Amino acid sequence: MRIKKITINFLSFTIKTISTFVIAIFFFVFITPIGIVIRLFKKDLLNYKFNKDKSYWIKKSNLKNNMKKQF
Amino acid sequence: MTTILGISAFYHDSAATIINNGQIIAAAQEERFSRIKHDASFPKNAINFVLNYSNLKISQIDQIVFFEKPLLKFDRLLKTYLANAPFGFESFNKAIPLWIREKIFQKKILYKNLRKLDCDYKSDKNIFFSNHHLSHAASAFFPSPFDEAIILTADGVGEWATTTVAIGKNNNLEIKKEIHFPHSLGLFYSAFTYYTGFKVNSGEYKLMGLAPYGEPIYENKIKKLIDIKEDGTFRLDQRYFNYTTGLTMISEKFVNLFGQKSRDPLKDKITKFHMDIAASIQKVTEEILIKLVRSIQKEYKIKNLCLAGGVALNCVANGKIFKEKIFDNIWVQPAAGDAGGSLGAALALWYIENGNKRTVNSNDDMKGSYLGTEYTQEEIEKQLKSLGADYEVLNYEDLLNKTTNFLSNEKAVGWFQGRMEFGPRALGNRSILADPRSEKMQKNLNLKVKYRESFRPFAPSILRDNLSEWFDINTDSPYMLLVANIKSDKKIEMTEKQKKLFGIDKLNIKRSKIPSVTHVDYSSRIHTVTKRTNATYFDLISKFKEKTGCPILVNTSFNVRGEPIVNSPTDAFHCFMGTELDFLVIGNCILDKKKQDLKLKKNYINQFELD
Ligand SMILES: [Fe+2]
Repeated sequence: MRIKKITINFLSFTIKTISTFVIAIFFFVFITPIGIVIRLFKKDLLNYKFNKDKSYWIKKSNLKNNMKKQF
Repeated sequence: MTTILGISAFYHDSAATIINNGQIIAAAQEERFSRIKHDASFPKNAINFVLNYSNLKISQIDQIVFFEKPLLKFDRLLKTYLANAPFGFESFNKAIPLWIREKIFQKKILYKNLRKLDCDYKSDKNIFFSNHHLSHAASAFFPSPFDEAIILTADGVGEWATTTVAIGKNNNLEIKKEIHFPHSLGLFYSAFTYYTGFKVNSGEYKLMGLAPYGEPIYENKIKKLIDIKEDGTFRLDQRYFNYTTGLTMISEKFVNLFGQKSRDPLKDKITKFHMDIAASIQKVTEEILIKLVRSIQKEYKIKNLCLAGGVALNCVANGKIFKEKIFDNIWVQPAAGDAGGSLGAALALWYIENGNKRTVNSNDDMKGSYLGTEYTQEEIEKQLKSLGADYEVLNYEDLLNKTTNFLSNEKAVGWFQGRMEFGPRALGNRSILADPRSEKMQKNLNLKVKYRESFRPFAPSILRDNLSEWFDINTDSPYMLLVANIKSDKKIEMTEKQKKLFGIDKLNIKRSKIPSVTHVDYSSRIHTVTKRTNATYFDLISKFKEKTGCPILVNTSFNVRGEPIVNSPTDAFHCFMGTELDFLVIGNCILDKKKQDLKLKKNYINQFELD
């Protein structure tokens, strides 16, 4: 019984570690450099900056919402 | 006959709605069945209920629609990390496995779950996806009594949008413009909910209730966090917040600005500081909303306004918007939060995508929001019997008379009748009732019945015809979504000495002829009752008026702190036995606490996580 429990704990720990490792690679090897390059080109992805315009409204472009799609 | 099943799930408040040829047939939140507040899991119980109610199986439903677009949310997630990396790994590491498990393959997951409910359901071809704010907007416009309206939605966040303006005309609705994440009025308010030690996504209502105890002295400081344009649009200075890629709502900088650390609800008391913060954020929120509403009215020149999205549950702000008289008419969707997205998605599909005709109902299409479960007298008695309850069955007239007697003798009564309400407020079918003239009732109900903070106000249910004799408005508020002030001749002015009393001490002063529903600033969250939407409740209040001259009852949801509102007679009996409620009235049954077997009493409150 105990051995089984230890094995399960060990396995789930291993899976977690591997998954964290894979996610870390993805995050630091892809997301981070791409993100930094985007910012180097001064693209403000989330409109962080305040501006002097009259309004912060974003006009909805006339893309019709297609309910068949998940995007 | 075309039936559509709308589903809201995997985010805040899971729910299901069924409509038949555009008519809303049934709707309910999953939390009422699972007994987990704000349950966000796949709403299998709610779906089963709406299907049973309409005698249908999943495989017989024509179209199924999910309330938002999962992949657009994923796009927002990725861009958010791109904008912040290398910061945010911890939250990324948490979010990604979750997304891979349940969100990216949402259609598959929906299909699999639906198939579990009915093995004859064989293809996912009839599953559609609305859009989060389109669902909110549709839920606010299509059931409304207007042929044409401007619709304003505001919440935490949907896919990208956090605030939208749409124009609705007959059977069509078009979103015109939006404000996008991370700039969000809902998250802005939630940041302060978090800071004052309440639970995000449910404690906002408490923060609003706390506001009248304080002074808005932090208004200017709060405005450092946000840039507000003349038209009410805004951006939040993200250096003060941490919700984009962090694990909390606010940053160090936020805490430093206000000078106190976040309140720990288990250790720290609510002080004047928190009351002042509450008053300040409420004031700034109202200012933004009023500016938004004013500018969109000017631009589109339509005289009707519809509201939805979590922010529309801020009934104090709604009351201010109403008072400004910017619009002739305002209608707020009672299930303004994400549960209502299931309803909106179904209606959006029926009207916008399928292009069906719409006939405007001058009263609105929500049926008083009484869209949930109901129980026959036979079922009620069966459940009560199996629980070992002691009850008496009375005819309608005697039932009303007796209940009125209990109420006027300062008893707290659990009141369970007809169909359950859809949305967060109890509207007289799953309610706890009391006499509003009683001076000790607010304290009693809060501490002994609801086990919640003593500062929290209660709402009056008032006969619609008597509304303007008691309050300074004269408009329908059937969903408890407007706040108004008590008429001056019903007011009892505070003496200079009393005015100086601090915060919660003010509660002990009799402020009006109906003290238990008069908040410290003389305001009340109005629930108007008419014979048309709720005949039984109307009759009860009328009887109470006949006996006492007061056309008002205290109405609070039938639950304790942290518990979802009761759904079945069994839930009601457990809540009755677990609290100091004196009487329980279910259908034609009356239960007297004194006559119950005390062994049936349970330690009730500890079952529920404090909100
Ligand atoms: Fe929402």
